Amino acid sequence: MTERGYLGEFELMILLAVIHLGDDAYGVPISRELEKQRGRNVSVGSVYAALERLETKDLVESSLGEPTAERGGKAKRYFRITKEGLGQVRETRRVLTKMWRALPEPQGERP
Amino acid sequence: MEPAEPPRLARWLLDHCSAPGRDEAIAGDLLEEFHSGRSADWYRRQAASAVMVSWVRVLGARGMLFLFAVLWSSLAPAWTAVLDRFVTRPNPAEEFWRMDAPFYGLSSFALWLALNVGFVWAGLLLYFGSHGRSAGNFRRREVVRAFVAAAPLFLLAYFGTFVAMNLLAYPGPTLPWHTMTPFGELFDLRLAALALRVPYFLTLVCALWEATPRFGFSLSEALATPRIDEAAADSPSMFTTGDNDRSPASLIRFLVLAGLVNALIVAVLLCRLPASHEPSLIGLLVRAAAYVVLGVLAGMIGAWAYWRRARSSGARLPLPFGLFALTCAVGWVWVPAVVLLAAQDAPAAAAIAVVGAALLAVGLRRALPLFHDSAADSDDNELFAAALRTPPREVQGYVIAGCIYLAGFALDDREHLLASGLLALSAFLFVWQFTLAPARVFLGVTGNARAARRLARIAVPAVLITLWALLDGVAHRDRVGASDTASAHGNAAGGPADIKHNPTDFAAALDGYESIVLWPEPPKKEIFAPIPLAPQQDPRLHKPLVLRFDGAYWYFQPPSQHPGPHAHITHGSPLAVDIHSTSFVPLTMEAHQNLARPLRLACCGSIEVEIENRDNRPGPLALAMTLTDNATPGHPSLYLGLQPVASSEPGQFRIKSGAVTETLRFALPAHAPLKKFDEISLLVISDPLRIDMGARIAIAQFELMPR
Repeated sequence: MTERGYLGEFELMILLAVIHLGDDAYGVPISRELEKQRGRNVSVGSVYAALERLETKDLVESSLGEPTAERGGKAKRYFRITKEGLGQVRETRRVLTKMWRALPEPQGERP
Repeated sequence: MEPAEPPRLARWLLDHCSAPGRDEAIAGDLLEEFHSGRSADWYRRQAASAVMVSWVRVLGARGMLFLFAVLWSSLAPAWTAVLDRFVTRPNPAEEFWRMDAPFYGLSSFALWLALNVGFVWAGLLLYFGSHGRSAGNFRRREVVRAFVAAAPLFLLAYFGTFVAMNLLAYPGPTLPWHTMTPFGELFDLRLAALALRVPYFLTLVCALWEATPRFGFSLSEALATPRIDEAAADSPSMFTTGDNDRSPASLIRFLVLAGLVNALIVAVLLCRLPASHEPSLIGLLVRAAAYVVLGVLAGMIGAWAYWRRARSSGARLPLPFGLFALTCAVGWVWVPAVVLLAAQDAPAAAAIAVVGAALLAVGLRRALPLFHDSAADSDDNELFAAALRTPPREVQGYVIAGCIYLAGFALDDREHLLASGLLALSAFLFVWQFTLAPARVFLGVTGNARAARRLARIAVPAVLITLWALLDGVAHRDRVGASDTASAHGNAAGGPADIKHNPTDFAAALDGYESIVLWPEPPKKEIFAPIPLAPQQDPRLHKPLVLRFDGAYWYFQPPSQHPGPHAHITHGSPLAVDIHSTSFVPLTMEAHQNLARPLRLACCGSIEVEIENRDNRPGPLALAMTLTDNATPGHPSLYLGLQPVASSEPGQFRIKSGAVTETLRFALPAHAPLKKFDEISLLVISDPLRIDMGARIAIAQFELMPR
């Protein structure tokens, strides 16, 4: 039986943000989405480092946009999830959902 | 209104202090966020974080580079010891590379630089070559740049280290070059040795910094198995070479080697003979079983460490770790026996290693049918009725032949552990080639059970062989002890005596002594000058002063600088005994003569040493003299240089039935910091080919010649 690696928490969040943002997924909106969902600041550098790791694993692919003056002449780097990345997200979701469902219902809490 | 500018310092740091290859989009993103209302503090934090993360990523991607640089530079002191023996010849006429004045210094510098850069280049070659298939992914320009930049980088790093060490500890730490031996320096962790490694480390890191594979090569990628799916089948990648079973094979080979190396390390460190000279058979059997279990556990732990890493990088591993470990354990169980026998200089170590390697190959072949020869599956050209099939190029035959050839030399040099490794490799490759893969592979519980039963069947003889190694080792140690007692009473036969290395150092022998102090017979008498010296106002000699040698000969191993507290003290003559090292660490031999009262350095112009040479082992010898003042705090000393033993030189060496007398002359400087001395020390310097043997040279007398 072959073995596969699983996504880390941060990498999974980034992939979900990339899926959510669609064609507009670049550093700024990805970081903002993560900040909104996590409720705390996110380091842009670490977001890019994670995206680079994901790109190395062929889970995302990137392309450069046009440079703009408001960005000091720097281009945007857009990210898109790949078929492999989507498969990994779905697999991770399936495993986590299965494990969550196996937990007993906490007393006094409503789902 | 112009948008506010971000903090200048933070922006400058982000633009100029980030690691090379950082993504420019980060700077644009931070600027965009800043213009959308983020604070200056936020920008500074983000910029600092981006710079740090970029360097962590870059350094992490070069982890293997740093590891390689540390390992290769750790050999630097040993390399320097080899250079010193090559460059510093007893006879200046042999220094053919030296030019006459005024180019004497230049020729020496050029030789020194060439030899050290050659050492760095050897490291670069090994680094590029060890990347195997992915070496093709290195950019040629970067490879060439690495080699070209090595020389100036080395000079810069060496000079910088020299200056730093002089600032830290003026006049800088020094190494006693005349006692340095290559193998001893491998484990030298003194400050001077560590400082010596720094320039080589820096040179390798800087030269190889840019020479990274195009696809961001890393260990995890090397271990990753190819993902054979429809999407990847048509797209070329660094792994799809049409030979899809090569990557899993490389992974398995690497894991087997990792486990084997771990088992070997643990066996070398922990497997010892019992201290008792009459151990019980049951005790030895338990010890043998424990060693075998240790070997297996060490192998499993070593393989597991890399298995986890490969798995976390997404590599597809062809079988579960449990089955892999049980399969490889049939090879690891033999490691303790091989180490024990090799330490006793027993050729049986090689035979045991061959058996273990063959069993390992058979077991792996049966567990991994994926790696059968794919040449038979190659598609024939449909245009031809009888396809021409080119036999695949196989290098195993050459490797097997080379290993056997080298093993012969190793056995001749009594390097049994090295010979065992070479013969084991050749046996593994040979058996692998001729073992058929089974039609069916058992995985899961069935597979594990079969592998466990096979391991149990093989572990029993492995334990028995280890027990035999222990029994033989104890018997050998007892024999050595008995013959050493006989030789200490001046027998002409002079049985061999072994030196055991101190277990606190990095090599362990299994019998013999930690160090030996050999006193000549008869017992030591007080020395007094037969000719009274001139009054204190005129310390000079007017006639030669003869001092018969009745001091001690020291035999010990570096990095120790004198015999330890557990030294074996005995009586005899170096002419009649054979003392040699039983470990990989060479032997140091010194003669020490203490004077009853100190002599002033100004008393004499030279010291002539009359020696008797009965050494019949080829290889030039030399003596280095040092005078010491033990009465003065700090024990100042004066090194008088070294003189070759002419009767051991290649042109004058011959087999001697009796001792040959020879006189060596050491000149004393007219002015020196040392004013008086009460000890004369002579260090025997041997050719590298015989550094594990004591020389059969005895000191007859010293003759102090007047100025």
